[in-house]
Amino acid sequence: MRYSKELLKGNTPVLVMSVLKYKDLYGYEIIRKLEFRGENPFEMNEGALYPVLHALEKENFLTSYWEEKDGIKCKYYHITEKGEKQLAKFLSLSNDVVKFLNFADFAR
Amino acid sequence: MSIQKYISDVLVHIKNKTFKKEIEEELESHIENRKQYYLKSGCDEKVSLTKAIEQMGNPNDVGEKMNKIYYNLPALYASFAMILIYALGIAYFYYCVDFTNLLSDTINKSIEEMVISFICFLASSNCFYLCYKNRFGKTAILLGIVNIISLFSFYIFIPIGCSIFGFFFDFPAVFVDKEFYFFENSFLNGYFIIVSDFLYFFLTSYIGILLVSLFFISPIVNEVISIIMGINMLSNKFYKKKKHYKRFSVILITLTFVCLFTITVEISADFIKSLILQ
Repeated sequence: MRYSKELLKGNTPVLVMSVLKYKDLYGYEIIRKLEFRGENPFEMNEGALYPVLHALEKENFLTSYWEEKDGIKCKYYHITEKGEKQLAKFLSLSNDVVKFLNFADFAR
Repeated sequence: MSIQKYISDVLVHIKNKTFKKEIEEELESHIENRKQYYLKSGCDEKVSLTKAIEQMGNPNDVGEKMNKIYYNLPALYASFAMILIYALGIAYFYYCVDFTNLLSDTINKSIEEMVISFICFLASSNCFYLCYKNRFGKTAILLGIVNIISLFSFYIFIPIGCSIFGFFFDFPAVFVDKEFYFFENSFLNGYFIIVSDFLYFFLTSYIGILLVSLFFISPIVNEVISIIMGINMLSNKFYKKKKHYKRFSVILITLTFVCLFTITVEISADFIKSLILQ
């Protein structure tokens, strides 16, 4: 499913956290994952991913560590418990919004 | 545009030097990965690099956003500055000491208190710096404020408080009379000799009591916060990897704990003694 670019741009932190939910990844891998899912808000603007990652790390939603992969040193990000809670909170909120919109549509 | 040019365009916006190196390495790694991707898909070296850099987007945008995230108090320098001011304070303290009484117990006791305070100060500075490095901005600032209060309490409140309070009274409080010996020679006493008005005498004695009590409260608060923060830092995942910080912090926390214990015992012992004497 393809989402509109505006929607993706506004929710990049959530998108990034949801990609990191199942596996620790480094910046480039995150972009590749998003590309693969067809939800890449960082098209031709890949550098913009890093302020998002660093801001999430500063808020303690993510932690990071360095590891070498194929001869290139990469900074892996790991979602923290706090980050998972925040993600779940956001998802339940958006679920509520969807429910409400469905209800509004039904009531019409 | 080369990789170096792109990265330096990003870094030029970032004022916090602590994170520059890490950001540089991270961006470099991303561009390198993207370049490898294009190389594998059949592009030549030069085209791959150009495409990879082009895909990074505007370096100024990235730099400005990064700077907003990391722009904070330069905590390390602040800590060093505080240590320097503290050293100056101790120098001032020695200047005020009446050296004819150098061998008396009270002086030894005071030096001991000074050492204790200095250790506590180092411990909290360390925690303050680590909090900042580990991105606990608000806690670092709080700790910094406590640190500054404690710092000033030692050599500002005590001389002023004792000069004002000590000149007019015969020291009902047990702790205060010890300190009075040392600040007898301070310039502040000379200043207050001129004033003998009853109202002023009454008012200043209260200010004296307030200032002296500030000295006794803030180092203890500082130590307790240092210990709590230190333990917090040690249990932090990010922090666990830095072994030399860990060792240094464990030593400081232990020392702080010992100091806190000593001070508490001393104060309660003095208090009980004063009760018995009365």
